[in-house]
Amino acid sequence: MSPLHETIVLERTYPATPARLFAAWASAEARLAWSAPDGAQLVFDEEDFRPGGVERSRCGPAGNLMFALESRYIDIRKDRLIHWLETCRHGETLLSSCLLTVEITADPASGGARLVLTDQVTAFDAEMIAGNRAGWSAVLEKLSAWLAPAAARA
Amino acid sequence: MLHHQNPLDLAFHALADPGRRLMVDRLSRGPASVSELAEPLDMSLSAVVQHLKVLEAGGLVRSRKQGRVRTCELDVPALRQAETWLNERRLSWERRLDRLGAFLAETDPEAPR
Repeated sequence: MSPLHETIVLERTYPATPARLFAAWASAEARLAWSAPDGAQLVFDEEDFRPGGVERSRCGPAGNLMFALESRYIDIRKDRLIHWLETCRHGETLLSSCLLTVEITADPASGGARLVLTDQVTAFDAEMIAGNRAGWSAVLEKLSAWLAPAAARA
Repeated sequence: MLHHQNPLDLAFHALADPGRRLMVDRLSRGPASVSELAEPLDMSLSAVVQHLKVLEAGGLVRSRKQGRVRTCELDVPALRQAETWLNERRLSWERRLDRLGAFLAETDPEAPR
């Protein structure tokens, strides 16, 4: 199937200074505390938060870290901007490639900081990703493994 | 009767039975009526209907009734909803940004302890 493209934009205002908000992204330890997807486990293998730096992590359901994530930081401006490319692979297969931008500005109205996250998604095999997320691929693999000999018999 | 809540458990439970696997095998070659499904199996129609319910609960098969004939097919198109993934990614970011807010509140050096 052809790749899917989508841009996701989310905005939040936090009662924190831009510096604290930025620090929550800059430290892998802090990120680990809040950024693991729901019901999933996240393990950082390599941390390198700087322009040109590459980070590697794995995520998936607990005990089955089937997705390999690679984050390549394109630009980082302290307390203001983080711009990176995140690829997600399952084995050798590239599932998605996402260009992410986090913009942080002071929010004078609330005295806090405003965050705008823009996620430009290119999903190459969304069926497989959707299937994997729901735990379906395991079922289908089992199914096809069972069907293959059945088809051979037919 | 087991009560499986997890969709994966339900699907595996559905595939755990050889008779049901034969039904899935048959449906992988195209839709079939309940009696067509029952024919090659040494099973009563009511047993086939029971198995069908398990397969439907497992999200592997769906059926629709036209007149007196119930036609079954593999529920594969349901897996082909790419929007599901994109929606899930959006939701995932929303939840993570919510948790970021909670994290910032918990680590606020000026917050009263």
